Amino acid sequence: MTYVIAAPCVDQNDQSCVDVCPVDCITAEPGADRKFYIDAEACIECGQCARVCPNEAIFADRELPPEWAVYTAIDAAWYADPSAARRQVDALHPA
Amino acid sequence: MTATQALLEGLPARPRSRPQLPSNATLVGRESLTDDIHVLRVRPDEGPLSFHPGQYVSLGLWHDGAWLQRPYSPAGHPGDRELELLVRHVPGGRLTPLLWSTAAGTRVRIGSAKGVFRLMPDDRRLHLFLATGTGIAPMVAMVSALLERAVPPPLVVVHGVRHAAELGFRKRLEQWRRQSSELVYVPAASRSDGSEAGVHRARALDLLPEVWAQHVGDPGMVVAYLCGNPAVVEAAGEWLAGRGVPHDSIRCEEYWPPS
Repeated sequence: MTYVIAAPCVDQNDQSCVDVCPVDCITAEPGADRKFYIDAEACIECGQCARVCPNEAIFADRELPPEWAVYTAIDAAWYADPSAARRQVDALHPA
Repeated sequence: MTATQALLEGLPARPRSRPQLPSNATLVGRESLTDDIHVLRVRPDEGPLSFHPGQYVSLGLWHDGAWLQRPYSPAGHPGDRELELLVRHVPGGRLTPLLWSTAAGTRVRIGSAKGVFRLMPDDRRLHLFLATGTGIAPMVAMVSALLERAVPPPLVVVHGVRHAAELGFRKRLEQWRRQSSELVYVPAASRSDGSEAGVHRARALDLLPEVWAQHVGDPGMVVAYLCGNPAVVEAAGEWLAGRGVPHDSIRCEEYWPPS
């Protein structure tokens, strides 16, 4: 299991999740990313990020609303190829 | 092809490996409260770790080629040379069984302090702390900081455990109670045999009405800090809200089941 950051995060720039993650597994590149991404390999599933997110954008993957299911793959993809993940976010959220 | 499948096209499936950070601290000792609850002392290499009382840090052991990490709240003072971490052994867990067989001198990794469970500056309201189990650790750090203020606010600490031996930092809290008229300490053990002087045979939650009547009373003049078992934290928060304590004066830290 991991936590996933879904659509409500896009273009919000709130960093509350980063400030509480005990293992620093939430990342984004300033100026390049429109949302934050959770590293599933490092996430310890404490849920602190979900509790503090003011946009209610973070979910345990098994509780992710079906319409945002793709964000599990998008978050994972960012840690292999950030540009690929960004393209998918842009496709879902045209500027 | 569904819309989701189309979006997944071209996304790389395997995350790249994260760069592994070096160890930065040493496990220097432990005190056993019970077989299952230890206070671990960890010395960071670069001196006292900066943290606000109430925050947590990650403690990591190197295992199978990666740091296995879990968050714990230091109980001590931010200027202390060693961190005091109150840890409960979780049978079947990943980290704590390893910690229980880890000797002093083992190199570990400590993360930076995180979390928003913190004191508010210059808050002179009565501070009501209610903790269960190892949730007392951040509150000990908070009480320590509050007692250092020139004029400490009134403090009430309710700590609930199953057995009296699990009352972490009991001696310290009792000492502070003897030294400061501002501190009320209410230890409670739900499965106590009644032989421990000064320990209530009750659940922390069940003591709230009595504590409220004796020490609080005015919902507008209290700030509550709740930490520990999520069900107890939620129930205590609802009880306090029902007495008129504003929601922004009820600060909670839920301890997820650690492993």
